[in-house]
Amino acid sequence: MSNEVAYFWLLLTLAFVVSTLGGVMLRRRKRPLVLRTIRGYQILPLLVDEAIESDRQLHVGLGGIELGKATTLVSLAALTLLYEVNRRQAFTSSTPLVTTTDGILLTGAQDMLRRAYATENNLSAYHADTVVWLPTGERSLAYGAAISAINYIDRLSNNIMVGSYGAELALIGDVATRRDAVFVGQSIDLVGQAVAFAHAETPILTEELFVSEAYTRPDDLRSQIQPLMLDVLRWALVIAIILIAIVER
Amino acid sequence: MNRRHSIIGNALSAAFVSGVAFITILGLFAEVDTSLALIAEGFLQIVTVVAAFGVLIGVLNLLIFVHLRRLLEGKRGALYSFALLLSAILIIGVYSADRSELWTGDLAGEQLSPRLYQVTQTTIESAIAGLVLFSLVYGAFRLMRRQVKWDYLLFLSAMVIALVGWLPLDGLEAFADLRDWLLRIPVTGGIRGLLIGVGLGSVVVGIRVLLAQERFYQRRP
Repeated sequence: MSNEVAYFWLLLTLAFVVSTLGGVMLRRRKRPLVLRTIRGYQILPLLVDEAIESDRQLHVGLGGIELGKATTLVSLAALTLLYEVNRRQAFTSSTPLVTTTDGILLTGAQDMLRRAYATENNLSAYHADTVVWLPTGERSLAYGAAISAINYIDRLSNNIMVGSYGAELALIGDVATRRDAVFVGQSIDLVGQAVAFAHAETPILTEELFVSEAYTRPDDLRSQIQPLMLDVLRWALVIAIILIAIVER
Repeated sequence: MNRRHSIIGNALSAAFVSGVAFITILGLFAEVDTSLALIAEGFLQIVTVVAAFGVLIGVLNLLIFVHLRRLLEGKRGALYSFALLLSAILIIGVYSADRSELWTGDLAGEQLSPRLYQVTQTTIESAIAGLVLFSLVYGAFRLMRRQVKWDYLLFLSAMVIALVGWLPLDGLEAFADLRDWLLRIPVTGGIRGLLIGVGLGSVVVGIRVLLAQERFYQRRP
């Protein structure tokens, strides 16, 4: 067995053990963990409320990520965030505008929206055409330009952009600023994340996307395993790096 | 009754998804041409076919449900939608002509659709990319106007050093060295940190999918 495969199985086993033990521990604890504040998640409910009150669509962008490719798991995390955002407004007739750059993710996002409305017994408010596929070029600037135009034409309320973006995120952030709209940005790409930091008052930083459920459902003990797992794995990796550095000296 | 259906449905979908995921992982690590590897390859081929249909669905969704509808209903931006529909039809026509080798005269044997792509898409994207620099500077200005914090100051300093470091003027070599150091050490470290974070996050989501703890295929509020 090669080293890479051995490390992969080691990581998988560790994550499995943490998930199982963490679940047991959280159930015994019976009260939620105290999570550090992430301003991007703090503001999400307010953005949804504002969209409902102003009767304007909230825009959730899932650009640059694809189901069935290397970014599948990021896409799943983004879909979870989409579900949680939409759950808050699914009892009304409001619908968000969701944009993707992947055809399969388009159907995934439609399913997430439908499920949120079905949960609230409000399926009549669900419209599949509120999820839109936009083409993406080499640097996704076509996507950025399209979102900028949509912001003006459809008079969107605010923008939540998660996924994999590059410099084109600056265009969207710029338009949002000019319209006095709030812009929450996140990207797994370093350039996009830097732009999101510069433009968004409340960014979500790369890996924080993976713990969205724990923040949007603070009372649900099951969802709190995510940040726990992430932190345990991170510390395990830090300790491993330090140990390797000491041993190799 | 509904609750029982929901529990059975959740259990079935969880067993199906977890089973397929485990077989695919095992197949990816198995020896070539073993039955596990072949099954995993089969699953991946199904995904590829679905992905191809996904693109088709995406294009149809964009053309029909968004732009054609906007045009027919005469909503704001209908003119842009008309331009987009027209260009889509033109591109489909050009691509079909390329495939059928319909071009004659000087264009005989030429493939025009890649050239069209180069001329329009790449040029426009490059032009928009030029604006990004101004947008970043404006973003940094806004950050500082909003509130002066140490992380904002760090961002601004890094940006100023990077921009000044690019200037080909005498006496600014120190900035160029500093910029190179920034790119070599802190930026590389930051990139690795972010990539490790994304990797670990992916592992967390992957494990939750394997253990049927994710929400995608479950009916629960």
